[in-house]
Amino acid sequence: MRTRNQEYAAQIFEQVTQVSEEERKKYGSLAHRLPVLIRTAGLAQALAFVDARGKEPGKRLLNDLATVLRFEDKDKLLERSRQAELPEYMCLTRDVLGALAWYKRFAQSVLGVDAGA
Amino acid sequence: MMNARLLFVHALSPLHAGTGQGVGVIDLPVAREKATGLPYLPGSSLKGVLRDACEDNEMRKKVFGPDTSRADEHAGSVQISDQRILLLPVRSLKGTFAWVTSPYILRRLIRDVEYVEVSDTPSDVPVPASISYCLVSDVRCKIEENNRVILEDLDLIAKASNNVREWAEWLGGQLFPDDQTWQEMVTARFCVVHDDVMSFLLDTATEVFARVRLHECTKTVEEGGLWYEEALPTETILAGLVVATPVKAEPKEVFETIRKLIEKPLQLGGKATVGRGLCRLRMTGGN
Amino acid sequence: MSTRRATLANEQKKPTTNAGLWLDKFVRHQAEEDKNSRRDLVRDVSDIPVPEEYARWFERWRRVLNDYGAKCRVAEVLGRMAVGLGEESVLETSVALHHTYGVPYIPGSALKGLAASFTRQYLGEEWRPGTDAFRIVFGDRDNAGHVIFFDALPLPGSKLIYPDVITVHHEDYYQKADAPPADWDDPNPVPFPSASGKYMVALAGPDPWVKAAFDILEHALLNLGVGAKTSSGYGRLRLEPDPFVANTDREKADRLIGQIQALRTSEVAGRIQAFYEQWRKLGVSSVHKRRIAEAIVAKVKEAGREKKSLDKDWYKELLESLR
Repeated sequence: MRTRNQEYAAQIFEQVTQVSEEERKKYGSLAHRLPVLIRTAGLAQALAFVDARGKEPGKRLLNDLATVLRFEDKDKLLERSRQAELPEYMCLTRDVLGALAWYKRFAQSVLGVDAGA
Repeated sequence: MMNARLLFVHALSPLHAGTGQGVGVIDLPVAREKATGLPYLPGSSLKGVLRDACEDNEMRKKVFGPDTSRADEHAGSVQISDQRILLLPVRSLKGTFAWVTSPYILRRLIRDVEYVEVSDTPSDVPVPASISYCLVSDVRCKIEENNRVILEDLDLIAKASNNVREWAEWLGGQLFPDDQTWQEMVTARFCVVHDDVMSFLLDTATEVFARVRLHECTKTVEEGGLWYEEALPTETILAGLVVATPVKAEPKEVFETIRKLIEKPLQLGGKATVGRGLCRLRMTGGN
Repeated sequence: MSTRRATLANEQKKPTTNAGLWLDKFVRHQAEEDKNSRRDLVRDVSDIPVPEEYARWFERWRRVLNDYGAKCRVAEVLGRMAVGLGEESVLETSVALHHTYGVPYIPGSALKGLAASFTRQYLGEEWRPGTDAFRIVFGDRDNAGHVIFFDALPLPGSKLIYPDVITVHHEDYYQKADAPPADWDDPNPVPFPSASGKYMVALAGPDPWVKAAFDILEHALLNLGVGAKTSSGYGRLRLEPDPFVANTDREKADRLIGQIQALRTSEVAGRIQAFYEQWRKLGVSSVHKRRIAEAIVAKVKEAGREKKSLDKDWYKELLESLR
């Protein structure tokens, strides 16, 4: 998990640098909020929430996450989060949280978006 | 046989046990053991609170050792181990909450118990058949329905176990002696999940508080004024050892002093000023 | 289709479901346009009764606070309260529910924040931030305060959560800074749970400072309010008198009248009704009841709101009592 986690980093850095000027604030702020939202709402509901309410930057973050976790697109990731049985659901949650730690870090360093923004 | 007693910490408000390093999501997480990831309250921090609570100067010096400035005179006569997670209250679709533990945690408790003059623990540790199972008491269980236990958004297959009931009854007796209602509450909610599920719950189902600092005038969040704090929820039970190593005080004096000090509730862990960490302690074993 | 995990899609809430868990994780569907899902969620959460075991826990809590040396006073919500709005939640608006028991509560951090804010805004020289008094009660960056603000938990026994709505007008105006508000924007009702009931406020620390903190809280809870939507009159609580202090009818009435008279004109619309609620419940002799009613009516007139209030039931009831 730890090594896979570091593999994420390069790819996520690449994705975050591609975020457009107008999307950076919302994208960055979602990267900060999503991990805690996953704790409160659970993976399936948290992803669905961002998909339903996060507008374009939210969808972009989900698609980026999906790519890193080797899903075709966000819809496949969301579907998996609903359909997965318990052991896979827990693994998927950990993988998403692991990747999000990097998004959160790069939101700060690359996008210049702090928590609470 | 060591001169040791078993100690239980029962959190009545969220317990910010120690402060771990803020990696990832939570800015102020609770402390976790490096090797296992299990949350714990450092023994040193508990010992400090007990020492401060001890008003008898003479006895304080004998039991806890001299104040730090004169620490070289002699050592203290009491050691307090880290208080490690024993039961985590987890929100449940039925029965409001479950008191969750796992085989690894119970095995460690048994290892602790071996140091203590307690012989009545159940001899077997209940082990779920796979990651998908949750073992519950075979009588009076309140968290199971249609053979399922749903903790947070995790669906587990419930399996009634006589062994689990024995554990629940033993723990209930240790934690709530002379209080049948609370003993039954333990039996109704106690359950044993796979170690991997336990570790997942300990990472994702503890309590997290969003704390904000607002500008006085604009009522908007200050820059850097939003942070997340983690705590072990109300009804968390931790366990560890008190060991007497006679230097100046005899074991009898040590345990008698500790027993008196924990008659009153204590405030443990951080963030005291917003009410965290009000705990009830119980010491058992010996006689 | 539901946005829950497939295996949980058909779960119904049960009488013993943890209300906070249901609120956080069991909405049927997340889509913004699916208003029914959120309305049902809020209704479900309000229908879950206070757990049987909570009363037992509360007894223990009260005993432990007492053994710890904390001082407790009961505060009653006047109307509704929405503490905890703004935390991470799929509802976007939510109420703080106790993690383990699912009952609404007022976090100690919210009470401490409110008291500190009131102190900064309304108390005089000797309470300025930086003074000893302020530092002792609230602490500063380097030192913790000496007063502990515990979570205020509800007294068991009554219904605590109610379904409520926030009506967000001019949604576009808030979302796109360049679009001016227009009358034709539909009001957008957003369901959320709000709380009512009696809560046990508990403070610990050196006696005189605990007493001072209670005095501050008493005014702050009544006048500023705690939590969200305080400008619409939410979050007002009346701190019941210290049970050990004798309190005559005159003192009770005087205190209330003083608070009514202190209202600023701009505050009257949002808050005067809360005083009516208090007036209605206050058990004082008819002479003093009349004095309070007069004070409320006078304040309404002073604020130029008499015309707007004449068709309100509560105002009619006040006038009726003065006949």
